[in-house]
This record gives sequence, structure tokens and C-alpha cells, in this order.
Amino acid sequence: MANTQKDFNNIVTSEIINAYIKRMSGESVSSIDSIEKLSALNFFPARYISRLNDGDKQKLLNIFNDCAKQNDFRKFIQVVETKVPGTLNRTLDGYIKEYKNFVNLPENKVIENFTYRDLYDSLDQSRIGRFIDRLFGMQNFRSMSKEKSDGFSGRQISRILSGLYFIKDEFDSKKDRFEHFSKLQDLFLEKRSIVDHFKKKDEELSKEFFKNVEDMGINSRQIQDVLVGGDSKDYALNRVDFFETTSIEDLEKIAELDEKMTSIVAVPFIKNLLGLSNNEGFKDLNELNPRQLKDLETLLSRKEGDTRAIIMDRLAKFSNVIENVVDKTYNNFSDFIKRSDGESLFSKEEITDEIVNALAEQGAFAKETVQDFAYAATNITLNNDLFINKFEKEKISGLNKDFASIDDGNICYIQLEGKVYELNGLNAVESEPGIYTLPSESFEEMKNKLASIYGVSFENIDSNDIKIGINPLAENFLDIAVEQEKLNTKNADEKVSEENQNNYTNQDVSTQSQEIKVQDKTSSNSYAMPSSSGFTIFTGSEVYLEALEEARKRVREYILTGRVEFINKESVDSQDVNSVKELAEGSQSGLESVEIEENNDEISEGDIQEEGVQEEGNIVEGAQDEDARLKEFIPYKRDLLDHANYEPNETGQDSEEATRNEDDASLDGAEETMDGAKNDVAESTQVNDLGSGNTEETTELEANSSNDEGVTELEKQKLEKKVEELNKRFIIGQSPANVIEYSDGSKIVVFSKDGKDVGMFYGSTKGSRGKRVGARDLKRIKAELENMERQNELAHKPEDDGMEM
Amino acid sequence: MVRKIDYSFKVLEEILTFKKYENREQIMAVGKAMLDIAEKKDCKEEYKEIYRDAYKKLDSLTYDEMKEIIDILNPSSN
Repeated sequence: MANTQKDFNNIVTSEIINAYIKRMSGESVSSIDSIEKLSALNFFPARYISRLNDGDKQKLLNIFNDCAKQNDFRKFIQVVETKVPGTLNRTLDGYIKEYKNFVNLPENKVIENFTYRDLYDSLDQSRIGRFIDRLFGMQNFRSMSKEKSDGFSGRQISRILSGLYFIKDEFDSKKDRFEHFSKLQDLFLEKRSIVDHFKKKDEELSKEFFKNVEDMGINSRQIQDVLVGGDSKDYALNRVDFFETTSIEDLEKIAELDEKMTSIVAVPFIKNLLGLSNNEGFKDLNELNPRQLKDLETLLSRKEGDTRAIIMDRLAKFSNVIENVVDKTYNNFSDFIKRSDGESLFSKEEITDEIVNALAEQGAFAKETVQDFAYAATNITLNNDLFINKFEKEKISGLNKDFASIDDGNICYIQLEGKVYELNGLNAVESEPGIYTLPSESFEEMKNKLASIYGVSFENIDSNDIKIGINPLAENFLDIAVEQEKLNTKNADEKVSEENQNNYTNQDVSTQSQEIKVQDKTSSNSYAMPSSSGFTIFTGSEVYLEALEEARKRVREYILTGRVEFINKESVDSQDVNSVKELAEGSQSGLESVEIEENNDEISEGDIQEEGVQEEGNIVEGAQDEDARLKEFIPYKRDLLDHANYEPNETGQDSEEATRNEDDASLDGAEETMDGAKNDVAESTQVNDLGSGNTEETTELEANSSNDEGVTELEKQKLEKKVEELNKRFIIGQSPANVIEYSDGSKIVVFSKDGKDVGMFYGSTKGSRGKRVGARDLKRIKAELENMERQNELAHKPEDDGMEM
Repeated sequence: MVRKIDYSFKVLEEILTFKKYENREQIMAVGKAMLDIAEKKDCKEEYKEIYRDAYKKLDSLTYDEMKEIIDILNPSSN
């Protein structure tokens, strides 16, 4: 295997060596007084140093120390190779040989064709340990079993990681041949015990490690995901395959997905695509096995473009819908489930979870379009489990420690003058089967409690003004289980009639007796308003169960309402609901989208656009917002170049010339690229259309865009948002373009969209109009860019100053 | 090797696709507004430098060039 000095020079930087030595020994460079010490530090493994004769050793040490004084170890490497020919090559050959031995490569096996699967198959725990042992000369690492790894010292771990750091660079420089080696590092790092150890022993060291990892261009989150993912062999095998079939970019996408959208949304969606129930399979997207990934690919292969980009697109859309549905649902529903302390009985997460589960069960996530999905959201059936579980939980813990449990009938909700009060501990007694009675003294007790809890005086009310109910989850409990009944005897007859119609047995309660009777409702499916003067309390398990059922319907209703509000306006009557439903249904037979935007308060015909119209250029502002948002989930794939030397053309260049050269616009390839670009964008952003919205807002923007600065306040707000989004994205690392500038002043900018190069812009300071470069040239120019980068790197390498011994 | 990423192109892209433009002045106005917003933000100086760089790049383009890029980024916008 040919290895050159240049290779090694590229690998070993002074920073690495310095860090290496410090980590290895804590010794200063100046204290390195023998080559053996260097070898002891594994700067050079002893077995290779031992191959040198004494003279070469001394030379090597002298060079080392000379360079150390100048803190320039790059020079050291260069000089060593010059003065002690073959040393480093032998060393590097040794590494390679070790590696080949380690993986137990057959002699005739070409390492270039060696897959990670081959590597993994050749490994076992002891081999990993042996590898580390042999590679780093660490006698204590023969076993990498979890048990033993706990005994690693911080220094030992530091040495391992430093070694990996070193080797990673080494093999990165020969990435084509040793790409799989970085995966070995992943496998190694997968041993969570090491990091556990790190975390336990030395937080700072851990931080340093991850910083180093980041410095190496590896997403530490990705590694952390690996590290916490588990350590069973099956898992590891899946992990191996996963790494083998998934690019770093894709991993980052997934990590990004996980971070941005939360697994609450993403996992059910993917499971649904794969035909898995929500209770089986992976719990985290990183656990997707290769087969599942391939299935995903297959499922989505009918779509052109980046498969994962499509997933991201759809998830982003769906997430948006869910988020809004949840918001509306929660906001509405939570009013009904607030406790006296203001805390909601259900968390937003619980509501979200329930909604998402219901959607997943219905296959909503597999819907092709967002409006189909939104429509499905109006038809979900929530599972009672949420409420039952919550109820049970609350029953145990008690809504309030001062109050008794729910099914004793002691938690009551009282509505007075339109407000609902929670009042517990009234100790309703089941005076006869199905009838609960509130002792007469409880009325005063109730008033006192209300006054003390809510600070409201109820001196002037009597029992006829009050309705008391139980079970906050009952549908319309405001209306049913708790009823404000200000009209006492006035409409009594009418109400009694209504009550009878509803099969509702009701018991009037005498104000004088201060007795409250409660009827257990067991037969009616309706919670029509009980109507009477006096108190009515509903309780008992039957009521509870029915209440749950009604609560379920209630949630569904709010989802429906929320959905409609979300699309259109705050309140909407049933006709409107039906209209929207029809629109959604209609969309399946031709309408391409229903506009869905967080801030979209209006829905208009313009919001529902036929695809053809959009193709004609009727792109609304929201599409760009949506697009920008989607891009967050679609990191660009391509390698990014250093644009440090880029200098833009002169300001305001040659518009006249540009016009003169208008005809040049039809240059070779322009049309092709145009088409290609259109296709690319159309393919990868099919759902962009769906997110378009804010037609009115756009109009408003345009209408107001003629102020002094040319930017409206609304636009400024949007820009403000964009800046915030961008600032977040800077951390992640994306770039839409590479640039190349020629000595004649012309430049080429390669723009990427959704992870793909969609076109190139070519311009010249000499006045020719910018033009697109044909797609066929894309490859050639990319190669040129890479070549320039290489040359740039070489140009910045320090020259060998021929330092003499 | 960790490569330095020039994010100013991303900013440039955001500016160019922010809305439909009718002339260069409109684009520059949006670019300037974004730059001003970024300058006022409480964020790293490096981030602000990105916006400055993006504005500089933007300013180097003719309207035709800007339109070309917009068309590349979003062919259906015209």
C-alpha cells in the first residue's frame, strides 16, 4: 500500500501532536528526551521505533526537539522524512498492516473493497480490545467488555480517544480507501460504557471529547445518539447496517428531524408508512433498520427527487397541521379541564400524543396531501385510554390533596353566573340507589368553601341558582353536569318536560331542606340538560364511563373546531365546517391544496389554487416561508467549500451591458438547466404548493411596499423572523452555493436547493450577462471547484524550509 | 478537515426569494433591511458578518443577475 510523506504530512499537524502528547503524558514537549519516550507515548509505536538503529533514533529525537522548540511539528514530519528516509512510511505502513491484521483480511482481499460489514463480521469484543492494544500499545485493553471498560482510567480513555482522533485524521486523508474506518470509530464509540465512564469521571474531559469530535466535522449529536442507543448485538448489527446505508448527511437529517419535530410526530409517521402499529418497532428514528429504510425508499420511490427530502417535507407539513390542531384543541379543551389552581388536567403533550396516535391509527400520516391530512384530522377518534388513565391517575393522587377521590362523588363543579368553580369535599351521600344527596349543612359549607377558595361572596344565592356536577370530562359538563340554573321555577314546567323527553330523572331539591339529590345517570345516551330548581349532582361509575365517552366526542369536536378555526376563522358554524370538508374532499379530485398557515386568519378562493395556476407563477408569499422552513429539514448534501477568497464583483455592474447582452441569455445549456431546475424544484418541493398561503398578506405587502424604505413593517417582521431562523441555522451548517471565481473576473455560483444542485450561475465582470450553465457542465465544474480547493489547500501549506539537522 | 462554510450565500438566497421583486432597488431594500435587523440583533459578531457579506455579494449583482439566481432557485416564480 503506497503511502507518501505527503499523506502523513497532511495527517499530522502540530495541534494534533501537541494535544496528543499532553494527553498522553501531561509532559511538556521539552521533557521528551528520548525517542523511547516518544514511543512510550505512542507517538510512534515502539515496535516501529525499534526497527530504527540508534543513529536514526537520535536523529529523530533531535529533529523532534528542534521542531518542538518552534512548536512546529509539521516541519518535524517533513524533516524526518527527508533526513531519515522511510521512517514514517514504515510507521504508516505499520498502521496499515495492523489494520489489515486487525480485520483479519485475507491476503488476497483488496482493502479498497472491504466493506464495513466485512469489518464487523471480523470483529468481536476481544478483537476490538486487541486492536486497541496493538495499535496503541495499551496492554490493559485486551477486552473491551463493558464490565472491564468501567475500570478504564480517565487517562486510558483519553489515550484511546486521542488515538482514535489521530487515526481518524489519518484515514480521513485517504477517505476513499478507508471510509469505513470512521465507522469503526463509531462502533467503538458505541460502547456507551466509555462515555458513561467519561460522564461519571470527568465531565470536562467529555466536553473536550465532543468538542474534538465536532472539530473533526462529526455531528456530536449523532454520536451521542449512537452512544445512548443500546448495546445489544442485534442493535449493533442494525446500527452497522444503518451506518452502512446511511450517509452522514442523512444521519444529520434524521438527527435534525428528531430535534425539530420530535419523535412524537416523526415516529408514528414513519411507522405508518411502514405499516407498523404505533406500539411495535422502533421508538426512535435512529433505530430504523436497513430493511425499513429500504422500504421507505421503495414506498417513496414513485416520487422523484430526494426521498428523505420528501419525508421531511411531508412531516413538516403534517407537523404544522398537528401543531395547530393541538393548539386549538388544547386551548379550547383546557378551559374545561382546568382545576381550581389553574392547572390543566391534561398536558399539551398528552393531547398531542393522543391526537397523533389517533391520526396514526387512521393512517392519516400516509395521506398524500396536507389537506387530506387535515381532513383526516377532523375525523379522528380519540382513544379513551388517555382519559381513563388520567382519571385513574387523578383518582389515586387526587385532584387536590384536600379533596376526596372523584368516584366518591366529592368533587363537584359548580357553575354560577357563567363561571365554573371546582369545589370538592362536599361529601354527597348516596341516599338511595342512584340518588346522591348533599347534606343540608353542606350548602353553607359549599358557600364558605367557594368564598374562601375563590374570594367570591355567595351570600345572596340560594340553591336554585346553583348546579353542581361531577366529572370534568363529561361532555358539556358545563352545560350538563354543571348547570347554572338561574331560572328556578319560572321555566320549571318546560324544563321538566324537556327533562322527561331526555329520559332524565331529576329530583328537585328543596331549598329549605338544603338537600341536594344526585341522580346516577345510567340509561340515557344524552346528557341533555337536566332542568330543575335546586342542585343536581351526577356521579357514579356509570356516569363516569359515559362521561368519558362523551369527553372523547368532545375532544373530537374541538379538534374539528380547532381545525376549522385554524384554517379559517375563530368561530365557524356547522355549515362552514361542512364547506371546508367539502373543499378538502374536492381537493382530492383536482384541487391541489388548501392553504394552511399558522397565521392565516382567512381562507379565500385564492387560498385554494389549482396546480396549473401556481405553475403559471401565482406563487404566494407563504410558499417562500414554507419553503424556507422546509429547508431547515433538508440540509444540503454537497460538500462545502471555503469561500474565504471570494470577492464579489463591483457594485452595480454593467446593467447596460447586461441588457445589451440579453441575447446571450440563450446560451448553450440554459434551457436545459431551466428545465432541469424546474423539474428539480417541482419534484422536491411538491408540497411547497401546499404551504402557500397569506395571499392577502402578500397583497398587503405589495400594496405597502412603496414606503420610503421600500420595505413594509410586515416585511420587516418577516425578515426579523428569518434572521432568527438563519441565526439558528448557522450553527447547523448549510450552504446553498459554492462559488468559483476566475482570473478574468468571471464567476460561477452553484446553487443548491433541497440538497441538490439545481443550477449554476455564471457571470463576468466584463459585462456579459449572467447565464445559467448547462446541467451537463455541472459535474465538470464541480470537479473544477474541488480541484481549486485542493490547490488552495496546497498553496497554504507551509513550505519545507529545508531545515538542517 | 473542517471546512469553513460561507453562510452568506444562504442569506443571499433568503433575500432573493423573500418575495416577488420588480426591480433591483426593491431587492436591495430587503437586503438592507435584513442587514439592519441582523446588526441590531444580540448575536455573535460572526453572524452579523455573514449578513454584511451577503449584502456585499448582493450589491455586486446586477438586477439581471439577481433575476437569474431567483429563477434558478425558484423557476416558477417568474
